[in-house]
Amino acid sequence: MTLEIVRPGMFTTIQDRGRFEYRRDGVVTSGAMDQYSWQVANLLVGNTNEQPPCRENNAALEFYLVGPSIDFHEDAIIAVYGGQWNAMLDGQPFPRGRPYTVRQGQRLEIQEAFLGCWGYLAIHGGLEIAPTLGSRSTHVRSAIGGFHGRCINRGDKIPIVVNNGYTHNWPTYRNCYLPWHDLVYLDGSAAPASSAIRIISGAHWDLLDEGSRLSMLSDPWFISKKSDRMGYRLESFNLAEGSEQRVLKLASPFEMFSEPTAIGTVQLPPAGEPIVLMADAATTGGYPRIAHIAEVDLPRFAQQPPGTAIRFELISHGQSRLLQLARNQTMKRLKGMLDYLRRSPEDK
Amino acid sequence: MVDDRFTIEPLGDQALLLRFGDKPNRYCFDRIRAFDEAVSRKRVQGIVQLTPAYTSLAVYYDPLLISALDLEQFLREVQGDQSGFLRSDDSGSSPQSHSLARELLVPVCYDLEFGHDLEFVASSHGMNCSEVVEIHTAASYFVHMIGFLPGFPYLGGLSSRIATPRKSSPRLHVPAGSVGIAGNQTGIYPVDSPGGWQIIGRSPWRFFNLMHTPPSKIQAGDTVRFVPIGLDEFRKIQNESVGIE
Repeated sequence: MTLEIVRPGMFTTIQDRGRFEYRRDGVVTSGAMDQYSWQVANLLVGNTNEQPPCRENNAALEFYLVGPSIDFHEDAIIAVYGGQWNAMLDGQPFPRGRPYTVRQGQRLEIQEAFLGCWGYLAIHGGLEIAPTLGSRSTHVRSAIGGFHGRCINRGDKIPIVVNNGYTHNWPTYRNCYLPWHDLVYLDGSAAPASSAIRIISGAHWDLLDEGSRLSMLSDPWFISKKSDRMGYRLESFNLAEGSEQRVLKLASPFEMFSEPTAIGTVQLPPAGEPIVLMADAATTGGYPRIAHIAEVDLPRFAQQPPGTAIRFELISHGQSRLLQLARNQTMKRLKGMLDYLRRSPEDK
Repeated sequence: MVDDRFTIEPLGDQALLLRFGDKPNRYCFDRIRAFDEAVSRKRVQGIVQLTPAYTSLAVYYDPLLISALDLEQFLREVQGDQSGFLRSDDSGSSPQSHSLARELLVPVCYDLEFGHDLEFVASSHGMNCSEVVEIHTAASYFVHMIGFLPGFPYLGGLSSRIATPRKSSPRLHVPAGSVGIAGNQTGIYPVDSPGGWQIIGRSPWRFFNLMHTPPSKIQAGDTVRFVPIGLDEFRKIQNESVGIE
């Protein structure tokens, strides 16, 4: 029961929710860069963990900008979600954001992203990969987890969980109304480009001088090419657009001892261009923390490819909490609807 | 009486940062550890992970299961319980027993084959290499925290006589086991990594092993001493550890 990788795509790895319990050992969290899309992909194929806290921890294939080509040696129910990609199954267009039964011997080719940058391929039953330190996520730099601690290569055979003949009872959803508008709401890449990424202030926000605080919130920032799973660097200028270079400054010099960091923390190194810490960021850092990306906007932020211009909007902790609660309601609705459809007859 | 005060600030919207003081020292460390253990014992649903650092403790939580306000209230309750307990315990100056404190004797080969920057460190302080080694091995280093890389110990106690700034341009590959100096810190690279520290030697030990629980050989609260070894002994220990694992 395997998937065979014909073409690996870019930075294709196995990721789940992340590895949380070993940060005190210096082990980074890793996990899907876009947690919504990863979760929706799993929900679409019925991968749910009913144990509290009901946060699915099913591993999926994550890919960046260019997706993989895969030969299926067994029937499998799969879903592709995340950014928008041209994908073909045996030469026919493959639908995004729907569960689909792929037959033995078929080849799925996921090409280049035309919107967003992170994609997820989830398989009903999940990947047959043993967890390392409580997670199947891959951290390539320390060679922990996933498929031998590394990116997926051509020729890799990735074992999948045997799915108990479930295949043939799977609804196609062909005639169903699905809450696609919810998916669009959740879908980072589908949000209008003009909508700001919401941030909350960090411990050292007030140490920025006034002009820098203004610049952070009113000027465009560009995702640097030197961005990866560890962090997204923000650049103040874009040569193509002829914008001016700016740096953020502290009102007075500040030295600190290394402190714990979080995914979404916006650090300010001395050079004055902020870095947003992402899934693979080091567990501690010694740079001032000027802000944090609001958790609900992390997936949308992660989906911005290098060169994209973004703007930030400062919200309060209370607002961030309300957004989290609203997001959770939406996820629950989506999950309930998919569960209902799956338990209903095929011809519903 | 024990000083049980700390401030609580948000670390984004999925973690709180508890600040126990401004200066990293043994006293601050013991208070962080005692509180860390007290919270861990309660096993509250929604607390994902606690991560101690020099002067602070991060409490990561799942906002689906607990709000920041409820978590803050819980942490204050633990603080109340703990200060009562500690007072009645009348344990004197330190808020915890030191039953877990360990001293690790870490073998390090300071041969120039491994200590690529040893000569630079020596010359920048007007010493010869053996003087640097003597100073580095004379001290005992307290492990304030593990962070940055899997199993990377932040060691306090480096003599200012050999404190050396980071390399201006980092190396792309520093092998696992390398022992380095950066400013007034010294540390060990537990895994292969790029890095800007001045490398003065290498230990044959394996500091991060997924097969072990916990995976990091060195833990916060340990004391580390470096023991100089020659090339022959380095290879011997290295071969032995390969045999075991």
